[in-house]
Amino acid sequence: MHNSFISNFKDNRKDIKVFFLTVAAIFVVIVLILEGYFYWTGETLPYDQVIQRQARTGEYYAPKYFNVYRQYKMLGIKRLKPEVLVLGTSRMMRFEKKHFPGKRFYNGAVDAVTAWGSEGVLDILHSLKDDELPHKIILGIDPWIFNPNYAQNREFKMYQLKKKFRDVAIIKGGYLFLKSLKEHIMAYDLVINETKKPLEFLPEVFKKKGIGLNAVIFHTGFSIDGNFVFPVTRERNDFTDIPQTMDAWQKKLAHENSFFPPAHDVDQNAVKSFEELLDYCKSRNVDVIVMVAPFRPDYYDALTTLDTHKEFFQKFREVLPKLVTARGYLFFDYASPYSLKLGNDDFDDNMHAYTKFNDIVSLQIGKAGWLN
Amino acid sequence: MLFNSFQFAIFFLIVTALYFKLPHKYRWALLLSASCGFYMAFIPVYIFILFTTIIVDYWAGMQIERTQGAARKYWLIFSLVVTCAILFVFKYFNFFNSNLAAVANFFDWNYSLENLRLILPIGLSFHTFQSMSYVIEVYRGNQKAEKNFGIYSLYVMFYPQLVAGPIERPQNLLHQFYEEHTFDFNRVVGGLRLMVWGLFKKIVVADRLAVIVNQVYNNPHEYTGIPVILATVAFAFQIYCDFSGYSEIAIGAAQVMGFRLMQNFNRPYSSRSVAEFWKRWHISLSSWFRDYFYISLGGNRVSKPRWFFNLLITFMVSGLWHGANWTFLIWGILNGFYLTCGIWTQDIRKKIVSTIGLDQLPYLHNLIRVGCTFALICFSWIFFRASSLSDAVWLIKHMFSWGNGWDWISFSQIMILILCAALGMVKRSYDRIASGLAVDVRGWSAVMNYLIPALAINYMIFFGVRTHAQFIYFQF
Repeated sequence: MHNSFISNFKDNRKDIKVFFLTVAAIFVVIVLILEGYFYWTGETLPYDQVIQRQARTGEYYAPKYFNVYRQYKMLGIKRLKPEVLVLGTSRMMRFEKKHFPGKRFYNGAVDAVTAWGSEGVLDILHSLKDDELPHKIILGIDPWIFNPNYAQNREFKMYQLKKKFRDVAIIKGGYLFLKSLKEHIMAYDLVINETKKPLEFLPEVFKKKGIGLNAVIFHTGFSIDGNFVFPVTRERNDFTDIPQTMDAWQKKLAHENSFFPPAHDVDQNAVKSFEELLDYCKSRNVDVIVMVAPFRPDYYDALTTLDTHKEFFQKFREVLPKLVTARGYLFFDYASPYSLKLGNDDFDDNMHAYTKFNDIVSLQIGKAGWLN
Repeated sequence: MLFNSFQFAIFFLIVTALYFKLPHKYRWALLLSASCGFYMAFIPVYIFILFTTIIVDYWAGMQIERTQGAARKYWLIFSLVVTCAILFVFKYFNFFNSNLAAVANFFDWNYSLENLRLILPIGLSFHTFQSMSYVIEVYRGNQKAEKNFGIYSLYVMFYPQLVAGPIERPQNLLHQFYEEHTFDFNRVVGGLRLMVWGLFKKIVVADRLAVIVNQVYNNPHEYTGIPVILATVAFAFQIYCDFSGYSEIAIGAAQVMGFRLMQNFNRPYSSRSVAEFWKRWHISLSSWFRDYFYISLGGNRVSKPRWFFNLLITFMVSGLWHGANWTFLIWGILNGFYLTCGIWTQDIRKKIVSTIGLDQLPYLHNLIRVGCTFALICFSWIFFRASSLSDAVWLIKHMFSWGNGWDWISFSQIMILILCAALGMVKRSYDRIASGLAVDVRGWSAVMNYLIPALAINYMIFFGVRTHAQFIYFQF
């Protein structure tokens, strides 16, 4: 058999070569079309070009198929070298330059999945040289990053392992390549399974006001100071599945598996990471305000009164402020919307307040003299 | 282990490589072990059920050949009863039991037999029928009883066609296990090409159509009118691409190793009558029912009423073969009804066609016939796909009302399906040239020879649904 196998292949070598070249050629053509589309719409425009273009035109940046905000924000921080830097999740993303007049300001908050709690923030600070570190940081912490049953805390060891793998210089290039490959494959899938009709957004794409498809379609995205501008015409019915009564909240939270799974204590690994973060800032003479952004009243009531959740929330409020104040930093707990007189209508959804929150808080910070 | 999984790709490569590496006398053992492994990848313990069928039918085959007169018949009956009993327990017991309980409840009788909590062994109906065909053929004297238990086991378990056919006949397959197959490049490439095409049909076309179909058929009360009609037509193509795709992978995988399995589909939707459709659709099962059931009942060599009865009962049993559910039963009866009506109205239709002069326009006449056959088949698919009889009735009632629920088809799905249809048409042209039915203009067939599989592979990479959905016919 062996001889016939080899001779068969030798005799047909040309056919095999032509076939595989045809497969590869078609593959390359499709990849080039998709990559060309991404580049043209600004989805994969290099970050420095994004920032340059934003500085020139004031356009928003919001890719639809790629989650690249972390790299983009890192570059933004390095470029601007802000005096006041906001870090945290999407709940902090609405702070903008106007809230801190006279200061070089940058909002480095990224979405919760990318943020990776205190570890993620510490990673950002570690990547900055001492002369790139801001003087003041407003650090938004979310209670869920201290929830032991929060998905990312359950994967804490895996995250640390990945980080070690990522940090090894020899394989760093390989890691970045694999990461980019994964992102591109996911983006191809998203484009190919796009549910939006092209006629709904192609005319906007040709006008090209905005970098990245979400910026073009929804006129939304990050502005040059890192602040995220939400769409003006955001449809309220996006949130029809949000429970309207306490009973409904109870039912929903009983099966919650992402941000607030039922818990009774804070996660010790998360607390440790948070302390490391504070100590790092202290050692670099960076002044920090730690802040908890508000929740919508009904959601807040559910989290703080339901038997499955209230104990965790109490523990969070016992432990965290002590850690912060012990290091001489300020701790502002705005989790309760009542403290800021915010109603349901002041929220986009159960976790994201409109800019009224940022307006009030920035005034309070200014009055406290912390910015001086 | 599904054909559309990475595990199968590895499994197939290893088994094929070993197959050609081993001396001929050990190959059957390799294939048998591989087939056991393949089957056990689903539910390992169920291999014992399969072995029960194999042992009983192997033994019965030997006894039938050895004995004379009535004893042969008893052995045949014994074999059929045992294999059918296994099929009944796993597949039909709960259906009959639930219906009996419903009847008992209606009449206020005391009936307390509980349903069994058994998972249906994968491909049970397929290998049961394949095993039965062996015993019947030995009984009829068309096949000698197989002495080698390993080879007989392999006949029932041959992994490419173990879980969803084609349901082979002993005359076609058994002797092939004794033939020595050398590595033939053209045959291997032909087999691989078939496998690629089958995979393309499954993971690009069928699984994409499934998204459209499931949206409507899993929420039937939310859709009316044209969406229901489109979803039904989509299902007609989904089940065709799913099952013919599976069959092509099976035939291709066997061909790579040198085995010839029977053709299972022959462009069924171009049939000009329901009778023709059943000669082109799931050919291995249709011919099984024809040869072993319909003809045993007397076929068409009986009085007309009896002939119609034979047709109806054959299709009813064929419906039940697909699943223990009233929807499959109605689907079978409906197809039997189409056939009997077709025979009944044959003369009248001929007269009408002649009167209106349609026979002078054969192309248009054929087009109308194909369209009508397709519509009738699509209508029957409603019962096949619907989750319950009430869902099917609801869909039929509302399919001609004004449509609502248009948002379930996305633009990208349509574009991908159009691209697939275009590739299918190119492939069809190539097949016609390859089989001498069309002229090769400027040597395009040579280009298409490379282009079609290359495009199919790239379609799978970019447009394939990567959820590893199970083949529809696996459940039977």
